[in-house]
Amino acid sequence: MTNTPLLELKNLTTVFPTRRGLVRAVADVSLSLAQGELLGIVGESGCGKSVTMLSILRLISTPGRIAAGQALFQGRDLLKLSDGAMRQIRGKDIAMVFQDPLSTLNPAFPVGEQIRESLRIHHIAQNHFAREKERVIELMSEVGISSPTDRFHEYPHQFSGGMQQRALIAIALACEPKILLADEPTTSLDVTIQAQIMDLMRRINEARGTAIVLVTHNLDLAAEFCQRIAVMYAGRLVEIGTTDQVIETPQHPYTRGLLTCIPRISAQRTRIEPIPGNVPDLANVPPGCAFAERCSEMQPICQNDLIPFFEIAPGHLVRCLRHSSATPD
Amino acid sequence: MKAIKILERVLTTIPIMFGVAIIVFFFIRLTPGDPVDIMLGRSAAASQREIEQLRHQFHLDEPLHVQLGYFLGDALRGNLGYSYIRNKPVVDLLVERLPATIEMTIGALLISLIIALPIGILSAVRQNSLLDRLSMAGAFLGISMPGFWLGIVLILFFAVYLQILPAQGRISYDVELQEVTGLYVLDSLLTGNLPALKDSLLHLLLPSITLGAGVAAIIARVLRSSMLEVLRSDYVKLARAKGATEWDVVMKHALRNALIPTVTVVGLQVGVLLGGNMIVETVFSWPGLGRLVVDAIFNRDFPLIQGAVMIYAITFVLTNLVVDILYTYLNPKITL
Ligand SMILES: Nc1ncnc2c1ncn2[C@@H]1O[C@H](COP(=O)(O)OP(=O)(O)OP(=O)(O)O)[C@@H](O)[C@H]1O
Ligand SMILES: [Mg+2]
Repeated sequence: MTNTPLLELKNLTTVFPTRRGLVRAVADVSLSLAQGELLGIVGESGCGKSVTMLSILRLISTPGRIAAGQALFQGRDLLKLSDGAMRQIRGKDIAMVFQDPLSTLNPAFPVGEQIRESLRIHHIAQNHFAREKERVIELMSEVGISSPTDRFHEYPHQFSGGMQQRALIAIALACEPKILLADEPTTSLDVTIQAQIMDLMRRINEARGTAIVLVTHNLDLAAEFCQRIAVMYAGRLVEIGTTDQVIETPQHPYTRGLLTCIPRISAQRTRIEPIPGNVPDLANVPPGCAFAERCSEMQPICQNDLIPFFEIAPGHLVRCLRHSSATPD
Repeated sequence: MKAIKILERVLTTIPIMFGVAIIVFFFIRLTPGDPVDIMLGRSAAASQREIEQLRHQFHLDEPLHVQLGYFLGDALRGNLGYSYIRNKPVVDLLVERLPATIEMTIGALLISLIIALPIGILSAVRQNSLLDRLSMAGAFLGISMPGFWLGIVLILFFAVYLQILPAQGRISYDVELQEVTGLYVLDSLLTGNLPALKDSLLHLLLPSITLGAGVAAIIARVLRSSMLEVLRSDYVKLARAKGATEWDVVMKHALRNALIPTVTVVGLQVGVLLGGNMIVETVFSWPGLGRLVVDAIFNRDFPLIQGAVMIYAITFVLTNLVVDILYTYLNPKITL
């Protein structure tokens, strides 16, 4: 493994001006992704996971904007690229699977055509129709769409939700990207299909060395799939570490809260304990630790200043003052 | 498969036309005013005998249901009766006047699309820009401006002041054109007559703009708002995430979907255009159906009104059919 990570976010900050004020949907997020790595980003709904992914591809629509930070892909800052250069990267080097499969395929075009478009945009099959179509059919069967030759011409509404999600994955994989940003790829699907899709992504990772960022609010799913996990709260990262570190020895009270939220029948504990309180308004995040108001271990000092990351074990970072004896990162 | 469905739809228009015919028949006869009185009104001293005679000639002395019988029976044989006033078969009158109206309606529709499509798309893509604000203010004007007023202003400016465009009629007197279809632009193309093509296009320009302005405004607004909605959709984000150019994102992924509601509105506006004809034809002395109908209404020329309304109804039904067919191409979820 090389020293430079494949993708590195440095203090990425994305804001949306709204009537309530400036919503800091992604605040000062720093994160790295190595070649072929499986990274999970977990957090409650609205904590900024999708916006982080969209920021990487520079797909934040106005009036939202990336206010600060860097997104280094192979050492080049994506945020400084020209629009044309950015388009070359979208879909080719970094591809994204969107959150809601049912609204993400264009209803007006056949599914096969939409997969083919990815190949055409990046000249994968020399813009040769027959070759492109052949590749599309290959991709469709690879992601588990049965009788792809017939389904090539079918429209999204003729596909089930699971099949639409597979088609979206096929679109994302068409150009064999180095990074796949998978935004809740299985949330709207039933458990069996969910397992199949996760299996598919794992196979892709193994076969092609594609690095995958799995965005989910399901910590269990992330634990099962990922090598490292980043926990996000109110637009900030609060804990990052290997899956073992984060799941076995969670250090941030929020991460622990998330873990107790998951019903575990095996541990004779079926009661779900929700974290008390509400996520703060992202237009009005209090100073200090954003989680302080809901934290059972809160001390007055927590609400003063922005909490830095503390490295409590190699690669295990946590933004919590209870670890202030550890070296701040 | 599709051809059979289309044929089916065409056939279902027959009972619709039948219903329209009956409704029109009764409604005209409900309006106050007696055609014979109006006809004889000019020669004040018409004798009772003359009146009776005319009534009998037009079957107006018979009970309504018998009159309806005559009308429907004749209509089935393609005979829409005789105009009371003009003393000519209604069918002949309609055939004579219809092409002028069709030509102007098509002209107005094309002009409004040429204006509305780019404006609708651009003002959505550049939402809240100066261009957007100006076009939407323009659209507001376009909707609120009465057709006759715009027509007169255009005539004053382009025909009277600048003297670059003709103010009335379909073609200049000194330009020869051999009629084929009655649509002068088409006829000059068919006969390869360039001077006539130029002349008829110039004549068509101001009336089409006058008639099309309001429609253009409505289409532009509808297109803009559906483009705005579509541009926010996930599938447009996906297109961008694939690396598609802005042109493809807008003109292919977004426009294709934004056209679906727009086509419905365009279809409905054809009806508005047909209605607007009556005024614009009068302003530009355009020898079309609209003026004929206005005359017919004033004179209670029952057969002519009936015939003209049937033409309007057929046009409306056919437009709807075209819209429905277009729909199946734009929206794969819908089949005929
Ligand atoms: N276009 C926008 N305008 C204003 N605020 C926005 C916009 N898009 C996102 N936000 C805000 O940014 C925050 C983060 O949104 P994001 O979609 O990233 O959440 P998420 O973590 O993906 O949640 P979920 O699990 O529900 O998908 C939310 O509070 C949301 O209100
Ligand atoms: Mg999301």
